[in-house]
Amino acid sequence: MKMAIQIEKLKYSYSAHSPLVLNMPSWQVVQGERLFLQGPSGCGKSSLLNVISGILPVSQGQINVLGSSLDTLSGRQRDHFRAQHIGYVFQRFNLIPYLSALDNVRLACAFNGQRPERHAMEAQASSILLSLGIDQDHWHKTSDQLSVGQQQRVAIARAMIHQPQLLIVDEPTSSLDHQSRDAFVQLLLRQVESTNLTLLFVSHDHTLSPYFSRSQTMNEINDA
Amino acid sequence: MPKCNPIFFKLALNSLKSRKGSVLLTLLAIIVSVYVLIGVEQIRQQTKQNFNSTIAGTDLIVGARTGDINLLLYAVFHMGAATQNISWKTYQELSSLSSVNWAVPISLGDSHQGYRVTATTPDYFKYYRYAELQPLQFEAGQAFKDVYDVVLGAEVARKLDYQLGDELVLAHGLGSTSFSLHKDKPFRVSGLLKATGTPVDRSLYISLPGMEAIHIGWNNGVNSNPTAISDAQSLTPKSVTAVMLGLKQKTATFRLQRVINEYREEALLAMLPGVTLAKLWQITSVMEHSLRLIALLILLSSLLGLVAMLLASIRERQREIAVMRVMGASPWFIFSLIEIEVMLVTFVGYVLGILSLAGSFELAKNLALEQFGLHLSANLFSLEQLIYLGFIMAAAFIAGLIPAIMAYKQALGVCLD
Repeated sequence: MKMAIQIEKLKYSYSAHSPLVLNMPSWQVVQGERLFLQGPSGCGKSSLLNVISGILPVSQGQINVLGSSLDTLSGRQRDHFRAQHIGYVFQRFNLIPYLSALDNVRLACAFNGQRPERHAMEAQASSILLSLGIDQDHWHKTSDQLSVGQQQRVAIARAMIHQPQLLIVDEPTSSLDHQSRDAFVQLLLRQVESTNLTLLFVSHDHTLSPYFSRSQTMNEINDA
Repeated sequence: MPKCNPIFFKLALNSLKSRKGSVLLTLLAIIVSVYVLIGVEQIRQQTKQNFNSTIAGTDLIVGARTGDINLLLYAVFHMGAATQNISWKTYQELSSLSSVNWAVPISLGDSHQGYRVTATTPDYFKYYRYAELQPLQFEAGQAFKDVYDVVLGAEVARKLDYQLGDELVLAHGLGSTSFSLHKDKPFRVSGLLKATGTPVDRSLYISLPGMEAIHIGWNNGVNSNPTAISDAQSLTPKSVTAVMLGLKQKTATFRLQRVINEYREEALLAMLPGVTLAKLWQITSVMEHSLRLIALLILLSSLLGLVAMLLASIRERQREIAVMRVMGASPWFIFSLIEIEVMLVTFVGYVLGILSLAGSFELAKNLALEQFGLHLSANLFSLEQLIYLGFIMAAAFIAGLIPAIMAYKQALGVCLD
C-alpha cells in the first residue's frame, strides 16, 4: 500500500515560546483514499493543512507527502511541489477577485511550471469547467458576478486543472445551504471518482462523513 | 519560476484595474511629477544653452579696465554702465593689428523707452553671431545708412509697435523716463531684426556718426547749445565703449589678450566672451540646484503616494495572496507582483508625462521665444532621457520595496484560515 501522507513524531508551534499546535505521534493516509477529517475550529486543522501543503515549514518530526519528505525540502522546493502535486479548495474566497473564472483556472496552470501546449491547456480548462457545470456564459465573469456555489465549483476546477495527486478541501460547504452542500460533495466525489487521487476533506460538519471511505477526528490524531 | 508567462502580466494589470480610482490618482501624481522634473530640467538646460549662446564667433571683447563680468554685462547684456570709454585711436590700432580679422566698435549710453541704444558700424550685423554661429537676420529693411537711421531688435519693434519708416526720439541716459530727450533729432526706422532670444532683441542700433550727431552741443548731460551739424568730419567719435574682435586664428586669442591687457597707452581689458559667460552662469547655479531639488521632491512625494496606495491595498489582498500561495506561488512571486505593479504605474506615468510635456513645449514654443526669448527645442527622446527614465524607475523600484517586502512577509506566514 502506497502512502499519500505519512507523519511521524511531528511537533509544530508558531514560535519557540508558544504552546504546541500540532503534536502527532503517527498518522497515515493511504493513496487513493477519500478521507473525511472532522474537528471544531481551533484544533490545529489549518496548521496541519498548511504543513501538509508545504506552506509552513516543519522543524520537528517527519512528514512525507506523495513520496517527498517535506521536512527536508527548501521553501522554494515546497512551493514547486505544491504547485505540481496538490490541489486546494478553501471554504470561501477561492478566486483572485480581479481575474475571470477562466483566468483563475489558467493561473493555476501557469504556476504548475510545466508548460503544456496552449491549446491542450485551454481544452482541458474548458472541459473541466463544463464537467463541473459552469456554462461558457460564466467563464469571463469575475467572482463577484458568480454565486457562492459557482465560485466553489470554479475553485474545484482550479484545484484540479493540473491533475494533482492530493486534493485538500478545507470547509468548502460552510457558506452553502443544506441542499447545495450535499450537491457540492456529490459533484466533488464524482469528479475524483475514476482517478487515483487522494482526497482530504476537512469539515466540522460530521453529517457529511457517510460520503467518504474513512472518517477521523482531529482529536484522534493530534495530542496537542 | 515561469515568470515570463503572459498571465502574470495580466495578473498585475488586472490587479491595478481593480483598484482603478486610487491607481488613477497615483498615476496622475506621477505624470505631474515627471512633467515638472523633466520640464524644469529641460528649461534649465535650454536656458543655459541660450545663455551661453548669447554671443558666439567673437573671440575677444575689449573695454576700459574693469572686471570681466562687468564688461560682459554692459557690452553684451546691456546691463549697468561702463565707467570709462576707450579712445577712438585705440580702436583704430586694435583693428589694424595683423592678427585681427575684424573689429566692431560699440558705443552705449542712450536709450529709448527703457531699451538701450547701441551705436556701432554696419559691420556689427555682419559679424555678430549667436547660438551655433547664426548671423543676425533682418525681418524687414536693412542696416542703417543715413546718420539718423535706426535698426530695431525684435522685442523693441513688437512691444513698441514700430514699423519701417516710423520716427522715434532717443533719450539721453538710460532711464525709461528720462526727461532729456534728443527731440531735435528724430530717427527713422530703417530695419527690423528677427528674434534671436538674445539681448539683441531688446536693443536699438544706430550708427556711430548718429550717436555723435545727437550729442553735439551737449555737455554734462545738458543740451546747452543745439546747433546743426556743421560737417561730417566732426561726426567721427572720440571714444567708444567697447570693441568686439574677431581673430584670423583662434590660437592667437590668449596671446592677443595678454598684449591688450598690457597695453601702455590706455588701461584696457580683453576678455573671452565664452569663458566669461560660463563664469557668469555659475552665479545662477544655486538657483539651478534649488529648481532641481524641488523637482526631485515632487517626484519623491508622488512615489510615496504610490507606496501608500499599495500599502493600503496589501491588507485587502491578504486572502488573494493566500490563494496564490496554495496555487504554488513563492513569496518571491508575490514580491515581484507588487514590484511589477509599481513599475507599471511609474512607466505609464513617465510616458504620459513626457508626452504631455512634448505637447506643451510644442504649443508654447512660439510664445516662449517671443515673451521670454527662450528657444524651446525639447529634446525629449534622447539618450539623456533614457538616463532619467532609468533613474525614475530605480527610484520607483526602491520605493516599491516597502510594500513588496510587506507582501513577501505576509506570503511567508500566510494563514489559510
